[in-house]
Amino acid sequence: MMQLLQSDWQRIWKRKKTFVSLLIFVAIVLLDCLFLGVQSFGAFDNVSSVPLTAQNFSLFLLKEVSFFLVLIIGPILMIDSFNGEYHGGQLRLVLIRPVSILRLFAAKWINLAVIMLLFVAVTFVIGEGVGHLLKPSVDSVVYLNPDRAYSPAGAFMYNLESYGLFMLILLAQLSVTAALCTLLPSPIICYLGWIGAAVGGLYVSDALGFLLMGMSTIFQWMAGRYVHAFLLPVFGCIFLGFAVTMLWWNRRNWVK
Amino acid sequence: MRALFHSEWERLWKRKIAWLFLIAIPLIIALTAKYYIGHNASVPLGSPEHTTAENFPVMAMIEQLIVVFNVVALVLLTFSFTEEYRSGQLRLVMLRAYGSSQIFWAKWLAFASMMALFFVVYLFAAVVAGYVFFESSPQQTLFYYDQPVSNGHMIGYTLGYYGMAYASIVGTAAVFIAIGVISRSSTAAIGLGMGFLLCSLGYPLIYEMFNRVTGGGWPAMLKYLSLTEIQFSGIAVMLSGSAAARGWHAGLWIMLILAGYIAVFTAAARLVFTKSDRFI
Repeated sequence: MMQLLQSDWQRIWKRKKTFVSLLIFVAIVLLDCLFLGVQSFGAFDNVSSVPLTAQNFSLFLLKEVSFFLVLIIGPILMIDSFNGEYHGGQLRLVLIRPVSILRLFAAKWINLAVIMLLFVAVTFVIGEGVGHLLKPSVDSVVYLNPDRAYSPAGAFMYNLESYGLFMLILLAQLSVTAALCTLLPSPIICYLGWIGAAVGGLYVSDALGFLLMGMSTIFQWMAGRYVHAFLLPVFGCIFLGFAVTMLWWNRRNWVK
Repeated sequence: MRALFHSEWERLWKRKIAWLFLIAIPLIIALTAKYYIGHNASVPLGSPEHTTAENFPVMAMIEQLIVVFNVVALVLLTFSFTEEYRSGQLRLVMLRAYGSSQIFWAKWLAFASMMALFFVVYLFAAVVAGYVFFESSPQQTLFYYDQPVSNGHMIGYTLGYYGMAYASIVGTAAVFIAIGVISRSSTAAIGLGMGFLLCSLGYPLIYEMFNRVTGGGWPAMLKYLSLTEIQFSGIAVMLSGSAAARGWHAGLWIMLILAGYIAVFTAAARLVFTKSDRFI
């Protein structure tokens, strides 16, 4: 299993796209820091906003960059790994060896989860650092719910928890994308399929809105105002998508 | 050249996605109509946002132009320029005695004709849906107009709006072609294309903030350097009849920006497409 993980990890980084995405992403994060740096208010949505401080800076930074992760960088890396290698025939060289296909899928899933964690962690570190550089520190900070005030340590935990929830949403996206990549033939169609699934989720049920509007869901959930189920659909997507795709891979026609 | 165009045209229609979109147009129109029926309940009759049978085609185009048409253009162009080239299918075309410049223009023409067809079908579907779902009104209120206009004027306005929307799609397509030609894989092309769209959407916000921080005074037309902003409000400003909007010379500016995008990116894409080595 360890060797499968390593081999897949090397293949991920061998694609220039991964490293270039990371560079572009860091550039976008820094630009967004500048953008937030000259603003004095952070907006949760069209109506509610609070003054930007060192304590809540990283949360608003995540809101600004979340669309790049959910709509561009995330899908590209996932589709390249789940569908691009299959479509291009590169996986044949791996499957020549007597490896378990179930484990191969699990290795890919774990590696991509680690990569996503890396992107989210970079945002968190830069956000906390730049926030304290550019914005004044305050003793008490409120978020979407004005009745709950947090101390600096409490605010740090609040941000960390929000980042953790966003990571869970990315994992749900990972499982859904894996299923889509198995169902659909080519990378381009997979990409379109993911956009369709994220937008279509809004129409199917409000509880699936987190796929596209992740940050707005997290803002409301953390303030205790989210009216739909949140954790159940997220974990449902993660485990159902993972299990279904894994079994599907096992029964798939690998002759291509 | 005719045969080459025919072959490109057939290869575009070979894709299921093209047929899927053509079939989806009535569905998209129906969903848009459903949205505007709900929206009408909260908007008074005299507002430009109030949808009637006559202005529904324009309202339906405003709603879907940025997301649906741009993404469909991106997908079709990625198939046509990146996927066919990088997967080697195009070798079978290059075997024949055509220059790569001819192949480039045939691809461009096939895409432009296909988009034109989509726009015409969309317009017809929207006209029919407008009369089915909405009530007719003797006069229309439009964005950036001082007075309501007659229904005869509305026909010209609708055609003008669709024409400009088509021109803006040709503009975004020029960028997507340039991206598709330089990308080594189709996921990269799609990702860069979506990145371009997101940055275009974000640009007006950054421009407004920049304007505020530096104390204002920058020309308002700089906002329309973003193609999606042209699609969002620029076309309405351009076709507006109010004296205030006319003072900006919006039509001229937006035409120049569109022409600039098309000329620069199409020329760059053609240069790369014809000069890069073909031994893939």
